[in-house]
Amino acid sequence: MIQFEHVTYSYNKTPFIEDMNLCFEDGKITAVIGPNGCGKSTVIKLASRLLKPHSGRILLHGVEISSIRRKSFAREISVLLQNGHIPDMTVEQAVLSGRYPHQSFLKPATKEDHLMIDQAIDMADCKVLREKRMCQLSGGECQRVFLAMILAQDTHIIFLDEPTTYLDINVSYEMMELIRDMNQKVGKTVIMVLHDMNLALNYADNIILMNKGRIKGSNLVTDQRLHERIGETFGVKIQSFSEEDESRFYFVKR
Amino acid sequence: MNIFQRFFQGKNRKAWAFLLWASIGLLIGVGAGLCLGANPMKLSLFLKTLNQKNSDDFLYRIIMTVRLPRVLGALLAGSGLAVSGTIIQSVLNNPLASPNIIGVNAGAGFFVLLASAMFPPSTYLLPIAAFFGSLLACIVVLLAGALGQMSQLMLVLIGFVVNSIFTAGMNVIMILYPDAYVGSGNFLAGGLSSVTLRAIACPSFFIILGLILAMLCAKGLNLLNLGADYAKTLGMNVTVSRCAFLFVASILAGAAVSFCGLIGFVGLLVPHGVKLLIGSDNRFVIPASALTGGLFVIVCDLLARVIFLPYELPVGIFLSLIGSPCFLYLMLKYKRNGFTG
Repeated sequence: MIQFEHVTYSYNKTPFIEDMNLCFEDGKITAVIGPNGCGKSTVIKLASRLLKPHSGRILLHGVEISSIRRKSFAREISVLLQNGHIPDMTVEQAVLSGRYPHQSFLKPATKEDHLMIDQAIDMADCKVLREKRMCQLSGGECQRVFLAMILAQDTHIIFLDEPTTYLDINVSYEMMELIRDMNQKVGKTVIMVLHDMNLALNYADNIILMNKGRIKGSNLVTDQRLHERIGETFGVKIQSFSEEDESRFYFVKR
Repeated sequence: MNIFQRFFQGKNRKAWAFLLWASIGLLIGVGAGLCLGANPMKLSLFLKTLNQKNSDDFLYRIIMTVRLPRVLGALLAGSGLAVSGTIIQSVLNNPLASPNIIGVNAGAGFFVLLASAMFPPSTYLLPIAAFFGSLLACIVVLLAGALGQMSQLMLVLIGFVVNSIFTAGMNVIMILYPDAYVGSGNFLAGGLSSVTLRAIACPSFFIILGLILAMLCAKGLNLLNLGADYAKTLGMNVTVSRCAFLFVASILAGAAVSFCGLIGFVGLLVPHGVKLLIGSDNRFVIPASALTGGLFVIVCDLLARVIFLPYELPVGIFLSLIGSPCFLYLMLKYKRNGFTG
């Protein structure tokens, strides 16, 4: 469980995130949504220690994250970043990098490491890519490889920063199915920033709605009040229908 | 599974094979460097001379006082600069980076000029000045970079600033003390013609130390290849690591520059060629760069000695003559492969 307590952060002089209180539940898929520039990615960067809060505390299972050693922290939390940088390495090398926090300084990869990367590559469906170089892959394949990398990192909590950017719609859905599998079959806690609200509402358990650096709502995906707030924030109306005993959502203009 | 099968059938067989061939090439290169020159000798004669250890023998004296220091110097300088370049290119994620970018050449050049302007000439003065000059310039770049969290762009810009300051300093000295250049011009041009065994004793210690440290950096350099943010989320202290890696690079380049002068080009070229051939896993690229860099400088130095007999060209000229077309070829090839860095 990750908790934010009175967290403040600013990129320049004026505070961007002020006095934020927030909680990510274990074992759930939580989606953070909100308009462009609302601070979604900042929240993930704060929680994964890529940014430091100016005041307030961020707790992982009750322990302040800044007091955890780097490698132990990397064994607890992994992050799929939203970055365009394609590393100059093979797919297998990239996935193996995910084992870094489990390895000691000079020891070569162990049997367990290889077992983990085999599993991760299987799960992220990268088997055919294994011997290829990263620069030969498409955007979707690249994301899958990074997903395999953070699966090899073998953490309880996984952050995903816009995992579907640049992906075609069918690939986005595949990605989401994969993420749901990770949650349901392996029991990972998934916290993702999503721009696409269709995906957010249809795949997450919990939704955190943000606007202008503030939390506007945090609730179960089925909650009616949350739907109203989302509607207000984006100027849309949420329609629902049920399919195979599951509620499905889509958006129409208000 | 026996060790040979493991080496040559595994996924890294290309890299192992390259290391093997580069080692063989280096042995041949060292042999050729010792046997050939203004007074070429056959291998049998060379071995016989070496066996007799007769210090009155003219050939023996040539080998021990002229060729051996040159070949060793070329080997050390080449491997030091190539590995230094490998590290710097990885840390800055910039394929066009070379040891010059963290101020190695400018620092060395400035202090060499300053030393020859201030002090009476002596054998050890210029190498020591060069070593400490390059190290000092690197430390300035690193300290300033650390203030900016060692971001890549920051480092390149700071390197540029430090370079300009030292270059300006060089110009000032040359105007105030025109004699300084007379004493140090040869050194600044770069070359191995006046290398002695004694002069490379101390640098060789630093270069061997640097090569060992570089091997220890390999895994970290691979991780940096993923980008700083991923390296951070995987538990690496990026700022400290970058600083440490660049410090190793500056020891290597500084030690090399201290006896061979300013021939930084090797550091740009060799890592590129190696990466193109065996991929980018630094655990292989670093030793392969060391071997190839050594071989490259030995061959260039040999050519510089023998092609225009009885004249000799500075090795730097051959490094550029042979290196530049190779580099151009690699760049065009990279471009075809969708290289965008």
